[in-house]
Amino acid sequence: MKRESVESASVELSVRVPSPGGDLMLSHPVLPASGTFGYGEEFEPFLPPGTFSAIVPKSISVESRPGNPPPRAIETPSGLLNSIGLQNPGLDLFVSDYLPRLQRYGVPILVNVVGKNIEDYCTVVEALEGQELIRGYELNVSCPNVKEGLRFGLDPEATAALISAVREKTSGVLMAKLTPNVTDIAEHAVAAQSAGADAISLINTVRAMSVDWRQGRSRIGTDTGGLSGPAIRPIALRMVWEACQAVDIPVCAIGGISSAEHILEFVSVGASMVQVGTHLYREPTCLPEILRELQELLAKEGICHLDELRGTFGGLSDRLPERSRPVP
Amino acid sequence: MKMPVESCHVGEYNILEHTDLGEGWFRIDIDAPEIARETRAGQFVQVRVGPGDDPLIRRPFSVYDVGPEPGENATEIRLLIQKAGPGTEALSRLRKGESIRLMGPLGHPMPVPDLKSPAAMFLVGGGIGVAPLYLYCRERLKEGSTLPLKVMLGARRESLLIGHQGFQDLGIETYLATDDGSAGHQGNVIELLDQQLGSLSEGTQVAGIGCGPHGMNLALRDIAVERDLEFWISLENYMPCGFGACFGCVIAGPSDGPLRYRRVCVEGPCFPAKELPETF
Ligand SMILES: Cc1cc2nc3c(=O)[nH]c(=O)nc-3n(C[C@H](O)[C@H](O)[C@H](O)COP(=O)(O)OP(=O)(O)OC[C@H]3O[C@@H](n4cnc5c(N)ncnc54)[C@H](O)[C@@H]3O)c2cc1C
Ligand SMILES: Cc1cc2nc3c(=O)[nH]c(=O)nc-3n(C[C@H](O)[C@H](O)[C@H](O)COP(=O)(O)O)c2cc1C
Ligand code: FES
Repeated sequence: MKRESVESASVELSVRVPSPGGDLMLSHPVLPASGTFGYGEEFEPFLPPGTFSAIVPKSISVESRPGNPPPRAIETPSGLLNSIGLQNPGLDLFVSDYLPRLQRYGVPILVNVVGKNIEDYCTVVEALEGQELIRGYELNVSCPNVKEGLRFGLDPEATAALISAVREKTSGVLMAKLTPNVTDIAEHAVAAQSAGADAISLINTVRAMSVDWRQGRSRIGTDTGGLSGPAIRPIALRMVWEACQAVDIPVCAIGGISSAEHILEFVSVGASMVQVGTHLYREPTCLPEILRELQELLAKEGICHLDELRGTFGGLSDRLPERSRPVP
Repeated sequence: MKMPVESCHVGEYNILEHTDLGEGWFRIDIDAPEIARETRAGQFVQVRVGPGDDPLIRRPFSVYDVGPEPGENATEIRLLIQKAGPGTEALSRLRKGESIRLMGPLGHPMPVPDLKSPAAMFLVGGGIGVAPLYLYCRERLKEGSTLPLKVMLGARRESLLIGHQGFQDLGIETYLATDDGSAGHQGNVIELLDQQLGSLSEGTQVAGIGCGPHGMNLALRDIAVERDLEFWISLENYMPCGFGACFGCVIAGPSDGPLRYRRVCVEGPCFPAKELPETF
């Protein structure tokens, strides 16, 4: 279905994320991925952090955390393996020292929250409610580098219990960040939606390892870590597609995204927004160029709004008779 | 609150010269005025190896020299690189007229201590660790500093002692050590430092900066702590971003108080030896 091309300036990139407290309007679909954007200030020399449509700072827990022992990162083929271990200043210092700076950027803040138990998540959310520009939370139920993150992420019922409890504390946007380290992502996406999540984001890093066989040692400070970057993009695409078929809340795609082409692939399988992570390390100034390209690519195809593209990928299975469907 | 990085330029720059130095070492001179002007010895640049995804992450390199001279008039930066893997291998194939994607300057400059005479300021370099020390010397000479610089360089054999001639040409007292004795002291650079420290007259104020392989840095830290010397050590941890965003490059310390990890890229890369943990 080839359409007449349109003016790229007329392409509308905005995204609406409904929540009990009202709609969150984003000027475009590109956010930074938590943990790859520091606390915003690291990016000030490169671009106004408010160029992103919302800010997602590095995970915050009630208590400050030192993080994992070094070495914490190593490059693998087209990927980055890390075991940062959620180093963060803790809730109090976040509010006093980091939040005021984030608020200066003038765009919505979605605070990424992590905790050891349900109470921890609730404590952080309660403390941040009502703060200027904090429009919601991304609940990290999926970090592979700490034990408690995985427990929530791997059990859909535990994830649902967590989301229901936090739902009581806020009417802002609740986005559940899912782990790819599960067999059936759709089950987890549905659990999050049923428990009251307004959106889901996926994927967090893929559990992986790198070993020096001569020394009999892991190349990072922990035995396993989380893999990010282009190496995981095909995994993310598959999982976002599966999740989008299972839920009708907005889905935020994450995993190896570094260009407008990648964003449109994810939108075509159903994503509403995306986060750029590891790519920001190598090209911290990339966003304006990606946004320009996004408009140009859509304009060329005559697509005036991202909604027109969203979910247009149908998949073979819909179109083929049952007996000739490929074995998944 | 102080910013992790005050100013940093990202761009595509033109290669003015590529010089093969043998033994897998090479030098690239790059036309990058805004980076060159702001760079101080000890700072580094992050280099994108190619447009593709493998190698993925930028590679950090100390600025070895700026040209034509350090300061406001500088227009080019010079990198001294040793092939270590796919990234440096690819960079070794870049030639004059081609472009290179750089980000910098990053990290803090090396400290310039205020020493009272009699004094000795040791610059200890092992292998590629020599790179940031040359610009340090050029800067001190340009500002007419009276810091009594003593450069000590170590390598496995003479042919790997790259860059030492540069110090001698600047007229700086330079001591060499090679494992096989093919140049200078036979043994390592730490032994050489030990000898020199022993020969200083009573009451000499001593400071130093070390930059070398992990083993050398550990030994230097031990000497500095044992003898209570004002030494700094420049670390070369793996750096996914180089500007403070990933928390991937950390070291533990300082040792008093609760366990804390500091980012080498934005708090270093040079740290007081006494603040470094026993193993880092
Ligand atoms: C602040 C800083 C300044 C540096 N300055 C210089 C310099 O002036 N000249 C120079 O030649 N090199 C310098 N290095 C080291 C240089 O960054 C690495 O040699 C380079 O990243 C290796 O990339 P590669 O793809 O060739 O090798 P890889 O395949 O990535 O690695 C090859 C080997 O080098 C080691 N290595 C990888 N990354 C680093 C690293 N960041 N630091 C130390 N070892 C590493 C790996 O563990 C492996 O053993 C510096 C590093 C840092 C952090
Ligand atoms: C160094 C590093 C640190 C990260 N820290 C966090 C974190 O604190 N919280 C979180 O939810 N995700 C964290 N992530 C995961 C990213 O947000 C993202 O889900 C993942 O990296 C995949 O996207 P990418 O391939 O674009 O990087 C981190 C990723 C990296 C590489
Ligand atoms: S390299 Fe990313 S924080 Fe230092």
